[in-house]
Amino acid sequence: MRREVDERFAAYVRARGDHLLRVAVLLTGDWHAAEDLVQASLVKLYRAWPRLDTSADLDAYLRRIMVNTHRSWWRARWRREAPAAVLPESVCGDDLAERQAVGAVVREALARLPRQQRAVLVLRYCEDLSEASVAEVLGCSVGTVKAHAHRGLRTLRERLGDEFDRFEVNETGASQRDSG
Amino acid sequence: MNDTEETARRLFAVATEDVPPGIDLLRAVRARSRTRVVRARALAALGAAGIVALIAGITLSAAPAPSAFAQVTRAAARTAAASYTVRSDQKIVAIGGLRSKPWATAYGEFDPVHGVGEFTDNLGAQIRWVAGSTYVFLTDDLRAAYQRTGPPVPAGVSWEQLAGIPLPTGGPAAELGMLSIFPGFLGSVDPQDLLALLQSATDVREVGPASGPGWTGSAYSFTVATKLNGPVHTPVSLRGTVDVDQQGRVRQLDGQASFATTVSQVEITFGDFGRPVSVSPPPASQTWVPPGS
Repeated sequence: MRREVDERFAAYVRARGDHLLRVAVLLTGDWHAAEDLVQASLVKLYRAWPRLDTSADLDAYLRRIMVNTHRSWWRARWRREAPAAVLPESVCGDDLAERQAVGAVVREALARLPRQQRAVLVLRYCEDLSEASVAEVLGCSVGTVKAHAHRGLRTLRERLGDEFDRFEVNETGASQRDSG
Repeated sequence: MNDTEETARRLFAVATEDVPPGIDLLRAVRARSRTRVVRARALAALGAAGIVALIAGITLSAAPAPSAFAQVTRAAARTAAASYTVRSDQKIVAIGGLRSKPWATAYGEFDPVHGVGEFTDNLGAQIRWVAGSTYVFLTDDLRAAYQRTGPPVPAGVSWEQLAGIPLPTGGPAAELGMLSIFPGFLGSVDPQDLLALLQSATDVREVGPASGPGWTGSAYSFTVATKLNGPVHTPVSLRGTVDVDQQGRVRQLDGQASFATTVSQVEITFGDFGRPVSVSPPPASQTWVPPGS
């Protein structure tokens, strides 16, 4: 019986682990903290697994665990946020190194947002949840979600500056960085 | 979703691409599982060892990426970052709905790291990118064109050298325009630019499994719609599917490119990833530098 339970747990992690890690890195700002957050969340899920209805939306359940765990870390300053004095240097070109540099800049800018704003942006634009679903996960109103999303995007745009503009979507649906 | 929100979505996809190696998501679960083994030996003898063995087999690399868009953009970036061979089949299927042209096929190999590459088509035309220059083989058609418009091609030369035009050539939008208008025109396809085009794809959706000789993966539908940089800003588009293998590389890109009333069909196959590419410039004695180039 236990083996069957663990096989199902392993299959779930195999299928969703990569996705969970990507959500976590946007919440925490760096890959090591993201790994810690997913590990801690999976332990909690593993404990609850035998009691769970695994036909239900496990992603939603684990998403709530991750957000709450990250919130508790933040409150306890278990993970101190230490904004870098200098943002990673932005480079030009279309190669992998450039994308990694842009990725680091985006994570850094996200990490400097207030925790709740950051969570709203990640759940809304990485997880593609509706405003109502984000409100449910975070335990707040839809209006609060809208306000956080608006302020968060505005701040992100200000902090990213040129990087944001280069990825800006024009009216045809193509980004400016690819138009010439 | 408005433009700012869509841009945020793109940036978040980029920000989650570079997963570092060695991440083990189940380390803590395994540790807890082992603790349980110690605490309940009898039960562990039946199940926990199996659990540990089972979980130990899970690696992050086996997990799928979070979204179709991220899968495709990451595959395009990865493919464009190392050497590969490419086969391009193209034909015009409609010019104002009036006529079509037969398929033209080109074969090429590229090494973006070292900035070298070459293309050869089924009519014998050749183009090479090496040492910061583009070399174009002077076919009879090209010689005739120079004969009409000048400058005259000197006797005894086989290649023209366009100095200062290294690989890659035009930008992605220009690439799509060329692809739409001149299918089969050697040099109209720069695979690096086509891969870059995928970074601005929209409506990316997984449509099912894909496979080819020696690989399996997934197929994704996509749309790229943009505008040329010229004064008219003519819209161009590419709609089709892209196949990504399990190693996260682009294997096949099929679609229809549209420019005004011209529609062309393209089928582009990538392979031989990481294979060394050796391209030499033509002999200097056979090379001509057009005046003013």
